[in-house]
Amino acid sequence: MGSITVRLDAFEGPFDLLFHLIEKNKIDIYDIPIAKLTEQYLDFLEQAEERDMDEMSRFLVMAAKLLEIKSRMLLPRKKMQQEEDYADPREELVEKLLEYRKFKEISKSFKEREDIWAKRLFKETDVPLIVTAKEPMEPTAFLQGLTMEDIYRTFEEVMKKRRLKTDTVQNSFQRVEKDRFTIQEQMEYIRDVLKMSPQTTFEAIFRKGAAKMEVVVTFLALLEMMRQREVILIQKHNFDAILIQRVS
Amino acid sequence: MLLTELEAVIEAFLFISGEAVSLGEIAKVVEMDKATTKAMIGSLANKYETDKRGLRIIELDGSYQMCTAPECFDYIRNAMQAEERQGLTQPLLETLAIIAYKQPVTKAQIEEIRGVNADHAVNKLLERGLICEAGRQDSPGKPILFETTKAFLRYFGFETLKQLPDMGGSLEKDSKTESEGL
Repeated sequence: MGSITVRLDAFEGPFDLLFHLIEKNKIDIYDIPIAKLTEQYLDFLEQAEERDMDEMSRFLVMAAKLLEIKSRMLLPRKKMQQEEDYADPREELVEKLLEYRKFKEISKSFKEREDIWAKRLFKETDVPLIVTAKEPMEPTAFLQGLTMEDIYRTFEEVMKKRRLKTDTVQNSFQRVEKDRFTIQEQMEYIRDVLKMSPQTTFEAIFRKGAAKMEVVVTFLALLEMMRQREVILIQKHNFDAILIQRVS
Repeated sequence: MLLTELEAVIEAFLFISGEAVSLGEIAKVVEMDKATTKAMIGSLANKYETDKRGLRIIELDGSYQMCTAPECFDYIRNAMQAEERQGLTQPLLETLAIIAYKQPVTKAQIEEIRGVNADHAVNKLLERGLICEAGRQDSPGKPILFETTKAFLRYFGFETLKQLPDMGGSLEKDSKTESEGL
């Protein structure tokens, strides 16, 4: 028996599997031999190929339910209860099975209708229902009945659609600018500054109103010059001005 | 204008609309009362059918829409190289059937009947516009309710929800055919 492997994902869920077993064994749904069905259900899970917990857990709840019903049916009943009050432990399960079967049947008829109706094609609205005038319209006539708010809302809509359409990743790549500053050039520039006075402050090497890129490249140039021991930086106390000195 | 001429107006209006338009709207266009308009639409739809034209007019929940005749489908599909429409899978069909009959319904109620998680199916159906949200249930957690849309009716060719096949029908039919066989 163990050699047969079965696939759980062939079944929509526990009810589907139960139906499969009921039909295979020609079981009367109103008088389910619960012990036998439970055994088969558990066997089935045992043989299942998947050991994926998610997949299995969908079926395990039903297994527990079946075992519960089975054990309840084994309990001896009191004579008093036997006639009127006794509710068949299987009743709830049978009701659910029947309800599920109803929808399964209905879905078959939906499928048939789907196949038939898929053969009808519908035209998409492609022309906005605006009357196109033969003669150029007066702007006032054209805008008649429109409020500023209407126009603003339409604008917002358009912008929203635009936003939804744009690829946010691609959009984050902005314009690529040509390197206008090179480290070599900025090193030359710093040398020039130091030529005029052998000592200058850190702030002084950045031109007023310099663009971000220029500041960055100038800073990198300064670091490069420190590495090459062309300049040294001096700071006497914390937060004092940083002095740049030429190494001669 | 003659009624037949107004029929032409309805024809033109339905053609250009590209979506289902209500009887009231059509009546306004032809400047007629609703009963007359309805009769004209019926006459027009009839002509399409009897003359075996390439178009049909269908009714959807009191609205009307133009579509192609199913007989033309194979040719049209080839010509337009239309994408093969992906049919609904079994889980989607079952979920949709439950929503159609029990609407408005919560995800939990669907799961109760199918015994499986309904997240994926509900999301797919929402994506295809066959169902939509319909407010929230007044119960703990205020779960979202779902109902079917006009696109659902169109998809399966129902004019109204009342046309859904009888729920018990399939089961009764079984026993009936059995007794007839005897």
